[in-house]
Amino acid sequence: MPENIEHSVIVIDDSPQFRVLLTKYLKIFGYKNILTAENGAIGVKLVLENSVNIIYIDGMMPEMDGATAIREIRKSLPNCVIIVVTSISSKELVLEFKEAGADFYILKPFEPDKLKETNEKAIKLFNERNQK
Amino acid sequence: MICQNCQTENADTRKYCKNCGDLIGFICPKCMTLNEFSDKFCGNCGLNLEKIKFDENFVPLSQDSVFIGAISQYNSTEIAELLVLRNKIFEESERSKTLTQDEIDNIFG
Repeated sequence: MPENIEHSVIVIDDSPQFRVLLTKYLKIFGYKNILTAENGAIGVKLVLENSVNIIYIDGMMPEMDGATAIREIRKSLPNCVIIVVTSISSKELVLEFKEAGADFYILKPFEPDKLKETNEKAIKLFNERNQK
Repeated sequence: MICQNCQTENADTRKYCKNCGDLIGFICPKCMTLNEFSDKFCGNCGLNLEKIKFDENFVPLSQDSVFIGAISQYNSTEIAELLVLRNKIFEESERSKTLTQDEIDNIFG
C-alpha cells in the first residue's frame, strides 16, 4: 500500500481521459485529496479556493491557457508547486511556462516512472518551501 | 600573406596557399577583392570586414560560390541589413525548435 500523501493536488486538463489517467496515477502514489478541472479558469478558481499544494496543469486549454493560469496562481500562492504536463515541446513556449512560474515540465506522452520521479521532487520542493 | 590554415607565408600575388591549397586572405563578399585576413576594411570597396568576420553565423564564401553573384548586387548597407535579418531568422528558428524531455529537464534544473 502506498503511503498516504496529505498534500492537496489538482489535475487541470481539458481532456477527460487524461484527467482520469493522471488521477489514477496520483491515487497509486498515495494522494487522498485530488481535485480536477477541465479548463484554466475553473482550475485557478479551485486552486485559490482550496489553497492547493501540488498542481498538475496542461499547457493548452480553453477559457484560460496554462501559462496565464500559472501566472494567476503564482500571484496568490508563491509556495505551491506547479507541474506542466503537455505535448508542447517548442523551446519558446517551454521558456514561457518557466517564466510564468512552473517548477517542473513533463512532456506527453510520458513514462509512469517520469511522473513518479517528478511527483517525489514536487513534494520535496513543496516541503522545503513551506519549512521556511 | 600568411595562410590562416597552415601558417605558411605566401607571396602577396597568390590567392591559394602554396602548401595546403587553402584560400589565402579574406574575400570581400561585396566586390570579391582578396584582402589580408587581418584587414579591417576591404581595400577596394571599403566594406567593414571586421564586422562580418566576427559574426559567428558568417560562413566565408569561396570564389566559385553561387552566392557570390547574388551578394555582389548589394551595397554595404544592404549587406549589413541582410546580416541583421539573417540573425533574426536564426534567433526565431532557435526559439521555435522543439526540445526533448532531457533538454527541458536541463532548463528546469
